[in-house]
Amino acid sequence: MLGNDRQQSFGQLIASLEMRIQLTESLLEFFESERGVARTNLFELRASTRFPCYGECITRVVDGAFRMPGQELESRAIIQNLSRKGVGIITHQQWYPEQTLEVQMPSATLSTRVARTRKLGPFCFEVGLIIAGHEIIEES
Amino acid sequence: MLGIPLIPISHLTLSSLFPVGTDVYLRPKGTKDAILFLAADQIATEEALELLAASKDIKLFISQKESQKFQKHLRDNFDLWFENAAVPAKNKAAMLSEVIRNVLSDEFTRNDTHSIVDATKQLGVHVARLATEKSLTGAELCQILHHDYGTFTHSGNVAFYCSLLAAELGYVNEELAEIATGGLLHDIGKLDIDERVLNKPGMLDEFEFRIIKEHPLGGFRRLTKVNEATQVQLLMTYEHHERIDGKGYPVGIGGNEIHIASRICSVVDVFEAMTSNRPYRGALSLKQTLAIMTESVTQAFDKEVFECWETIVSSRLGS
Ligand SMILES: [Fe+2]
Repeated sequence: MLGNDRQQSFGQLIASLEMRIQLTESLLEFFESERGVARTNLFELRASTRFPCYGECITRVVDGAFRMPGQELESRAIIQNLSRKGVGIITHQQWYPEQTLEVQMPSATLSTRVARTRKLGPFCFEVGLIIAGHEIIEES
Repeated sequence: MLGIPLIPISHLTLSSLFPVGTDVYLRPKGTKDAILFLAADQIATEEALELLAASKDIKLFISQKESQKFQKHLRDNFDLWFENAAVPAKNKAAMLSEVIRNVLSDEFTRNDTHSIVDATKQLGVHVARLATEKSLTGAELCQILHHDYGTFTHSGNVAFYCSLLAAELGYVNEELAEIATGGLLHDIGKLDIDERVLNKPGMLDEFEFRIIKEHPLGGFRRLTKVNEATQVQLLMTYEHHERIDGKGYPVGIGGNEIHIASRICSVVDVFEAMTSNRPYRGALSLKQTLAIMTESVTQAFDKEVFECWETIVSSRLGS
């Protein structure tokens, strides 16, 4: 029952937030084509394999965590990839290293820490998050 | 004096008001041996100082063994000097530059971020105060500062330049001091980089360059752990390699997305690096540096900020 409530509230919540991301051409292509294991190279020194995905999520600044001026407390984002240790998301606003964010997805909520951010275009930032913990929302 | 290793000091660190605390030697150009100029407890006369200022051929030295003592003396007497209206701004700048190099060298070696932020906060206040002294010109400052490329020399110089530029752009008091301290801290992330990569003579390979490019991120991370570091200082550390056209690192933001203090830091950071000696090349002249920077101004820098800096330093070119 709890799971259902959470799922409903996720749907309602995400609908109440404005989608402000402007996806770049290459990101659109990425979301249409990329399957399997995400590409990498030796320079990236990745610890675990990333799997491309597409899904929406809500990012939330954890109470008491540091926040830069103008950053929204709660906003809509897109999940780009997932790995054992991290999650890559696309956002319309810039996030800063060491910021702690809660990433709410339909079936789980992740506690994360920002590792790095790269601007891909106007209102389009690629954010690498390190997963510190998670809470699975059980299906009823 | 044969056989005793000596290190050079600036004549501007001497005053006719206080003794220097260590024996000072001088060596006229072309001669091999240094001779005793002042004993530790002696005070230089006005005439002697004027003569030293006028002569480019006489160099002053202290014994390398007494370097710590000399630095301690500078630190201990610093406030006394600084508050004294009779000491010209030029001398204060030379002394402050020495103190900064020494404090940063100590602090960077100890590598404790809290302690570094603490120490730089106080130094930033002094740098900012000096930057507002109208009698000190940008050109003079360029002459006074050391131009070897150590991270602590570079950081000290960037702090001086940042505050001079910020003062010209209208920043005052606490904001100016905050920017000055930001200049001292901007490369703190380099403390995490292997010195062999940092000081490599010659071109860096792709892997080494990637390591170097991590320093704004590393510096920002360090400063987030220290409450005393301000947002401006965090941003100066994080954004000083961003470019106005959005092709910089680590994020690739551009224009006004880059904080004004970071745009200030970016101009003087490049300027300082080019006018300093590197392991693989000598320092470029002011004229060469400004010409090269002008070529890429619309891509790399905030044009208005760069032009203000150009005005500050080019007074020397005309003379
Ligand atoms: Fe840097």
